[in-house]
Amino acid sequence: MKPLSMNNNILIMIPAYNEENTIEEVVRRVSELYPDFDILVINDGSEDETEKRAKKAGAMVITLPFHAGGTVAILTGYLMALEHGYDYLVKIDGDGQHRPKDVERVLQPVIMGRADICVGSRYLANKNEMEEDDSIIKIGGRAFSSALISTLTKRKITDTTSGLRAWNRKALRILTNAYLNERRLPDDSVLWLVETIIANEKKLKIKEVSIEVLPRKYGKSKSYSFSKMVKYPIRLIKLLMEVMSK
Amino acid sequence: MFSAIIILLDLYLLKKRKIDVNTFARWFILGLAIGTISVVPAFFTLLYMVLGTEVLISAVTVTAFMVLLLMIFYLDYKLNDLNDKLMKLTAELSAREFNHRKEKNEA
Repeated sequence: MKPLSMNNNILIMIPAYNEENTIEEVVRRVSELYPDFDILVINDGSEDETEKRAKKAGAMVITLPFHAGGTVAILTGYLMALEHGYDYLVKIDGDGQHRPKDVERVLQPVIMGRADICVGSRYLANKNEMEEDDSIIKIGGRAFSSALISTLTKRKITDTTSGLRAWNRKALRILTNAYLNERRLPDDSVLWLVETIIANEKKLKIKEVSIEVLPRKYGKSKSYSFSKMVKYPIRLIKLLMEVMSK
Repeated sequence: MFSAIIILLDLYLLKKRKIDVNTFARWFILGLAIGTISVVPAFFTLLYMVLGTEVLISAVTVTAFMVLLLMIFYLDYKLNDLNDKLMKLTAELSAREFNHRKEKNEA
């Protein structure tokens, strides 16, 4: 299948759930900066006007039939990139916290062949970087998961939860196959951890580049809720057991 | 009586191809086990000795509770499995539906 438009080979995906306040601006800013890239918003069953506003801003929109979660939205993006023959895929958040100019920072190592997956890290340049709504639990959780993943994969990972990422086709093929055929879909809260472990097992090259994350303009982060914080340690233990049993 | 109902229901569902062989085997064994325990009192004695319950009715209750727990465990496992398949299907179908719609618009 051909790319969705023109002849370019880079797809930018923006998973979004109830981001009507920010999605239009995010799409416009990205398309102004990268007019040759295709932009695909994956609307994760939003109940607001996310779909309408993303279309208005000129993005292609896939709407999931119900709110299935970030993992399913991202898997849909992988499938679209593979089916339409894109060589590179970039993911940026729909809440406006990522700077569009950082897209090229994460893309560069992948295009140059220095990495199969490139992750934008908030903590690579400044290890003490904090977000506005950071609590001691969040900081502790992030530090623990970074330490855990660094130990398991035997490589230094400073930001295990960053959503600004780029993949090449090889990485997309391997990850999609792993999710669809080899294992269960991970929960949203541990998706990037699981992905790092799969990438490590499959000998994919991961690289981190330094990025800056802006404060949220609207609403609260969907990555942190009380129930997610309670379940997170259990999921980490499950992940740990899974890796150690191999 | 309960045992006979389970076994007959199990056979009927298998004949109508409403359940697979594994499910049939599981329920058949369960029905047979309940029947055997009911018919042979010695099994009950052994069971409540193993379970550490002195009153016979307690042994029945504990056994039923354990069976219930096992069933819940099994159902939970299956539910999780189904949920995983549903999510994967959702991703695949959403991508296909988008492609289909796009091709239709282009045509």
